[in-house]
Amino acid sequence: MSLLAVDEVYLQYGASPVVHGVSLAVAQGEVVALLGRNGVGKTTLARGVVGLTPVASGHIWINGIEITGIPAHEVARHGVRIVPQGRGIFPRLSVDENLRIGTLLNPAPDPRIRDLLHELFPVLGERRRQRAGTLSGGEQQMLAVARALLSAPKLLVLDEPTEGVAPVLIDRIEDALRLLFAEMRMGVLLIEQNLDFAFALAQRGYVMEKGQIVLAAATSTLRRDAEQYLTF
Amino acid sequence: MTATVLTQIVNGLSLASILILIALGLAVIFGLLGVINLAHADLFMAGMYAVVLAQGVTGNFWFGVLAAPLIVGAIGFVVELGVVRWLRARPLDTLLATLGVGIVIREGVKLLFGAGYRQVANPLPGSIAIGPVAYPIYRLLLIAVTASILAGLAAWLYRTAPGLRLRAMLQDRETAAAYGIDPERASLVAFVVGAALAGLAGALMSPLVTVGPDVGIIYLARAFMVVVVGGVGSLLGLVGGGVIIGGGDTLAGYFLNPTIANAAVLVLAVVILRFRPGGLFR
Amino acid sequence: MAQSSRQLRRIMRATFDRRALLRGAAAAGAVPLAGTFRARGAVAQNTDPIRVGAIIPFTGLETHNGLSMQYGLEIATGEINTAGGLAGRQVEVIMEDDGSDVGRGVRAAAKLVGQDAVEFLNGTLTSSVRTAVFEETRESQTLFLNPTYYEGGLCDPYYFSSGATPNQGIEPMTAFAMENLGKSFYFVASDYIWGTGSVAAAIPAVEAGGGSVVGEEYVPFGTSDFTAVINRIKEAAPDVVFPFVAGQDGITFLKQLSDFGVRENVEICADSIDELIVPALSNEVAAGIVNCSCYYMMLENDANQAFLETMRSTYGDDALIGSFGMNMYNNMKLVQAAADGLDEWTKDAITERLREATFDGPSGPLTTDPSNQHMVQNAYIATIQPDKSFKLEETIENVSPQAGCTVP
Repeated sequence: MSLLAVDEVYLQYGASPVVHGVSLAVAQGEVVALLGRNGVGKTTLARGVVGLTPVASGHIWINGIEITGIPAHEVARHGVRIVPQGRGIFPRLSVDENLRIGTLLNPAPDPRIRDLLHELFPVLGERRRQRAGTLSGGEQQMLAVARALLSAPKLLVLDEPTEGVAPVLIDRIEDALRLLFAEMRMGVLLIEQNLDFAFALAQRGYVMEKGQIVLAAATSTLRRDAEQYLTF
Repeated sequence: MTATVLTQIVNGLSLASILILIALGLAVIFGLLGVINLAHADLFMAGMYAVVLAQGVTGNFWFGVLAAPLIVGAIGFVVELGVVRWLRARPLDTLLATLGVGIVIREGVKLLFGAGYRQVANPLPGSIAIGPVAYPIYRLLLIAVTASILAGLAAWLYRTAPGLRLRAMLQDRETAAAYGIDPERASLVAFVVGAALAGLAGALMSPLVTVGPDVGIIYLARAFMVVVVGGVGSLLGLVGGGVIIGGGDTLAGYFLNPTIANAAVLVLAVVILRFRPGGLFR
Repeated sequence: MAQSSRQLRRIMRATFDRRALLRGAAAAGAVPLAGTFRARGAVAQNTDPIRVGAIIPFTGLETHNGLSMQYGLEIATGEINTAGGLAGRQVEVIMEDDGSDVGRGVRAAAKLVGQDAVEFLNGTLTSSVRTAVFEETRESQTLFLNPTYYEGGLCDPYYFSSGATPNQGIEPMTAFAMENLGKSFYFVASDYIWGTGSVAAAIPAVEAGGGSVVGEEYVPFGTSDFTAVINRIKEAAPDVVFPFVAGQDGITFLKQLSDFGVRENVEICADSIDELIVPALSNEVAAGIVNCSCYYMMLENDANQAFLETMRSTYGDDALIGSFGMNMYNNMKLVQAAADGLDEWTKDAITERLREATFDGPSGPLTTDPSNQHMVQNAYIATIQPDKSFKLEETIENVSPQAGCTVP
């Protein structure tokens, strides 16, 4: 049984259909990339999975429990977290308060994870009283990731974590995520346009085009075949 | 001379505390939900009638002060679930709907209590000497009570999980929801707290003013002025707005006749908004 | 618990004015409410009911007076219809709410005169509404009877006022105060025509009596904090404060005067604090205020006892009435007196007869002064007792109205 199972899901953005009958799965401990050009429906699919965009038809299960059509805050109780595109940090809350939002769902986070996050992202400790909006793009991304991981997710949806992050920081985030994924063993759905980043982390992936999955394969295959869908 | 200055300082503090108290519920609902609650004046008035009712039953004013936020909070609960929730995305409709809710509350009070004025006696008559100046005990108490309510509200917003949820929801409803915060519930909490504060303000003000079904309207404009001048969305702004309007009123009232003083404070508010449209403390 | 819920019910019941009102309206079948019946049959030309337009503040600043005015109006109408109506025609009342607001008052008058074609208007409370309606009725030559004491200055062949002029309220009050309370006065008034006009009438009255005015002050509508005014009163240290502060602002002012300890050294006299107002005041605030009015519920005469009995049995034991409500009644009864023996109702016939009309009712004898068409009437000075009852101090009988104008 998959951690996440998406079955023939259709999603609309306003009145226009964006995702047409997508099916995919993520197992526990697995990092799955979702690739595709801008505007093919990746973000809408991610929003659909976490309950922010209503599913027009189809089904979504988490650990065999159907979550189709339930509101986002209840989906969250099933262990689903998103680091949304644009990071979704709360700019006028302090860094510390942003992290506390993560612990609202998981009041006693694993001290090992806490220490690890502290070690990997020391800047978050240094600036804990600062307003999150004053952090740099990369730092905000670290904060968003740390907030999600503190909440002990079963499934983590990462929507373009490298977007707008300085190249030097991308490598650090990549290393940190690899370490954290290995440590925490959750399922990850990683939406990316930065192929090197995605291939470095994911075991397998899907390629979307015009709202549909056009390719599903292991990372090694994707490296070879995905090119035709992903030239920008 | 010192006596006069001292009197004016205490007057200013007293008026500022009253204005802050009156504007508190409005500011909370405006700041946290972006809803301009035109029923605020009538929730405030309902708080006064809660005192009339509780005082009638128990004979004790303070029991009314406890009952008012509960009763008016309950009204807020119904209003949020029945009206405000469904109109959140449409600010103008919310404005009109809350105006209508206000009328319903007012007419309901007339139906239950009659259109006549009601009496709430001052529970603490008498004065205390502050240096050379004797000042009514109840007004001094009100300064302290307002400060405590502000401190309590700040602690709730900035030190507790429900407060954190509300502030998160205010900034990004969707991400908050994705982190398990039920936005509908948080909105309900914010509205109920705002309504309860309006009711508490009404209860505390009832010994100072006239209790009647139409009394709320008088205070609505002032409450708005305080919120807008101070800047929406922060308690500091609310305090700043209260001190500026209250202090301005006291200062103008000392030198000018009341009608001109009233106009002068309005002009002050307009001037401030001309140069700081978002309010002074934004 | 049982006791407290009983208590609760009692309190609630005591407050159900509207319900009492509906009960009353149903009981007094003779009282036609707005629009309940219209002309029926066209057998003879003169059986159509006479429509009366009432302009009453049921909402806004003067809300608390609305019901009292309705009581007076409806009781008179019931009596008139039981006695055979006016010139053989039943009376039908159409009530409009002016919301204590000039614009709404004018619209109400226009609707009553234009659309409902009423024979005359009875009502208005605030001076701003009255003055605006007066302009309309003078233009359209509509018969208009005013129930409210006011600053005076309105005279027209079709305008009558049972409401007292300043010399019937303010002057007796200042005279009494100078004799009994002290000689220096501080006036605080709402900043509009009634307030300013009343102070303008009071100042010469005080000065003519050898008193002095140590302060006068005008406050805008909706003043909720009188701290600055009260500080100035303290500094001026008058013997007497005489407020002309309208509606709820006036009550707030009295409460705050007490809070700030002004009452320890200063007396209060007034012309606007009657049995309708005192329920809003605590015993401490109310006690000792001296007031001059042309009517009190406590007046001891047979007509008043009978009236109060009718009112209480119709509207409930808690029903209250003040001078405005009583004058709504008086106005109707004056019209009834004028119509007595009249074969056919015409505006001019009734107006002609109103100029000589008299009525001896709950507020004492009323006689029209033909020069200004206001009423010669009694002024009563009373002191509020510690239990908030009114004790009659002095009756000044048959005071002629000085309206400040004469009918052209």
